[in-house]
Amino acid sequence: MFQSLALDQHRLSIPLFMLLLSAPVLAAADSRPSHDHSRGKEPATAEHDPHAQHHDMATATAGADDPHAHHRAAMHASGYQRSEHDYPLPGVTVMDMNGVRTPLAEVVSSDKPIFVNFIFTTCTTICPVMTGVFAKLQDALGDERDDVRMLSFSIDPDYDTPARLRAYAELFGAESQWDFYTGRLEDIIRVEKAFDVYRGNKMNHEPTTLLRAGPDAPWVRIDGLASADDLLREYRKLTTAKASGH
Amino acid sequence: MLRVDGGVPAGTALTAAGRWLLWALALSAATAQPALGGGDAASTPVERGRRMYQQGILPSGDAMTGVVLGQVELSGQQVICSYCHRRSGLGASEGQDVVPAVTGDILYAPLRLPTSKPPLPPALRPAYDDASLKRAIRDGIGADGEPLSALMPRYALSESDLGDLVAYLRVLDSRPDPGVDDTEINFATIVPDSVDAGAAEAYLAVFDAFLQQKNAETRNEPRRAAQAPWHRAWSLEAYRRWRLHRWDLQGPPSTWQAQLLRHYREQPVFAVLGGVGPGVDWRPIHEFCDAARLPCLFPTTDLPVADETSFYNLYLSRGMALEADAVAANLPQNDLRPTQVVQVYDPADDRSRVAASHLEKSLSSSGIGLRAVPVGAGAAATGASAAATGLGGRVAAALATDAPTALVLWLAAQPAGKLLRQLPPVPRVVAVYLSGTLWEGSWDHIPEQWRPRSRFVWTRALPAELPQLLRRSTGWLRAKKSYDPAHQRLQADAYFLLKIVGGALSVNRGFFVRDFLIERIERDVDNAIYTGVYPRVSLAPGQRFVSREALIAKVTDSGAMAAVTEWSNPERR
Repeated sequence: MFQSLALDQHRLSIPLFMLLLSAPVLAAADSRPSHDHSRGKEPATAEHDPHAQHHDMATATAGADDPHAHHRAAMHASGYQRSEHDYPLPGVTVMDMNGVRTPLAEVVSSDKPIFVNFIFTTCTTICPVMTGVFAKLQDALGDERDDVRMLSFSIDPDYDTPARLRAYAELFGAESQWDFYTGRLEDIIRVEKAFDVYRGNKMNHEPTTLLRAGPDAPWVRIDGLASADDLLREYRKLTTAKASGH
Repeated sequence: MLRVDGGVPAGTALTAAGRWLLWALALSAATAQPALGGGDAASTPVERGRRMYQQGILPSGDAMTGVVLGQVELSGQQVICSYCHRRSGLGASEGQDVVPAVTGDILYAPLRLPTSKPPLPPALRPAYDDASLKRAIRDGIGADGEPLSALMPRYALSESDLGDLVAYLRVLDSRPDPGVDDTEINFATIVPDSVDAGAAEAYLAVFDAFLQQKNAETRNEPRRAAQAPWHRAWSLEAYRRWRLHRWDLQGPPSTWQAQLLRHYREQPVFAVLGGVGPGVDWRPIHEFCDAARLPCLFPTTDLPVADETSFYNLYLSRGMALEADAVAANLPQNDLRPTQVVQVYDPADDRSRVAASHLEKSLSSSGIGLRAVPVGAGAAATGASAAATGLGGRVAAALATDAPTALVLWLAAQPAGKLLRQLPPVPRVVAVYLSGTLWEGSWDHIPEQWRPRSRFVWTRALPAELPQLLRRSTGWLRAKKSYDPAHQRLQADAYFLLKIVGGALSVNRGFFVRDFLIERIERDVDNAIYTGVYPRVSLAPGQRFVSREALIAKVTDSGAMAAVTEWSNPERR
């Protein structure tokens, strides 16, 4: 029976052959594999690589004569990558947490420096940390916070209604310079793609923060978990450069 | 045996019957601890630890706080252990970040870590003990002496509080839940006797065909798992033969919880797959599932319980409540801006009644006047002629106002058509809203003069889109000689839920834990290729309805049903 099928020339033992043929057609085969395929299927572990966070350290706290340096360093950001990009944005409308619709172009048209991140309210792992970082940044800026804009876009707009975003904003103590946005799913996806943060299933999302000094400046992209100190430092670099005309 | 993770999920409204159930199940399953503590629910270390783990509340009643990234202090809801490590304790992944399992049996044993650097052998994470586990939670140092991920909060807890949390983690385990053994997994589906026999048959035919095929393809995997290399065992260990038990429900819904308990005691099942009850108020079943901590997955009902604090009940759509919300959301978008609504409903039909009551609630603070006219009631009005007390007369009377009015008919095609024929098409009735769920007939029932103003509300895809959406299931069912075009929606719902559950179980890594099944489904629905009769499905941790959207459509001059609005969530107004 099996010989009639067109197979390549590899010799297969019958049990393995049957495994290949009997792969669960009804179950996993029809499911598009999620982007975290390899991770999701490993036995739940502690660190995939226990030393990963020691590599690519962007902070300078790992002093050779401080025995606790690497512990302290690891407690800070696990390292992030910085790059600069021009992102042409789509002509879509988004809705703020008070239900007011605004063209995206207008949302990002401010002369003030802008911080952007992407969250959703039922996200359990990355978003509380990223939103907490924004909250910490807000506190660190103090009165200076009125000189910036902070934008958080929901990547689950169908669930994240303005009411849910308001509750989330209140949970983290967001002040007036910090807005949360939702919108039509198709429009939000276009925004995500424009900023190159779209990863399909929202559970595949990664921690990315963007900042821009002004409307004519490029977007600074921060991939990875940046602490509030990291964001503050990047912000100072940008605004110093802006002030000195670079 | 029942998982020893303490009382009832927060927010569950238990009826007296439900409370009795919980005790009955706890006793019958002979657990080590009663599921509900008497008196103070948090009086043992395990129960106090459970409250910390699941709700982020300290024994003192304060919210827990933790520090991430060395400096960001998060508190309360933002640092609840179960949010990341999940209620099952089996962890999760998001993007590139893996949240490890923290069940006691996994923590207190060495763990083989996969290596991404072959040919190096895998590393072993040493077993935790109480002291090193407390150190991990408080200081973020792992069993191997290395710092834990920057995402893991460091919790400044007292020794006593740490003791409670660790006590809970010790009893949290990954052993299989009832209903599954080494070779078989048992499921049930629910069939209330009020449901049409043909509908039940069409629904169950999908299950029969699915199980036959699945079991035919599940052959030697469990044996192979025993001999597999360790890094392959996880995929093979997921296989079991599926057995489906039909749980019939007879008589009044007040007796259903006792019947469900009896069914369960005859044969415990791992989960309940669906259930056929479009017009059935699902609440009694919903409460049973919460009390029994039994996943009840995607029944076909237009009357789900809207309570999203239920952990164990997952639904397809909000049904009639969603239709009512869609009508309420559409009213202000109507060019002619109705300021009054007259709705007609059938008190004897649960779906009709619930829709009307939900619309009334939705509009209560909108400033839009609402009048409700029940079908059949009011016939005892004294001294009035038959014509005036007939439904047509009563609706006409309700419409006797100058204000622009929307008429909402929570009725099937025939009675709706009959009523509309009795009503003069006065211009002040600017729109007639009709229920896509209740209609069940052709659009011809709408008299010509009412057609331009008629608006259907749909909580599923329009009929013209169904062939494309259902192509997979239709083709497969045809091949299995089980396709029933008269029950397209039921069969599509069954096919969808079986695909989702089958997929989630196949990647459960051998952990047959009920909570974990739900957690996997929460993640995997967004990847679904087949979405049944819904244009879009999505879930996330804590969400319980895969489809939250609706649209408004009208019948065009050529007799086709065409969308007037987008498919969107009426809550986002």
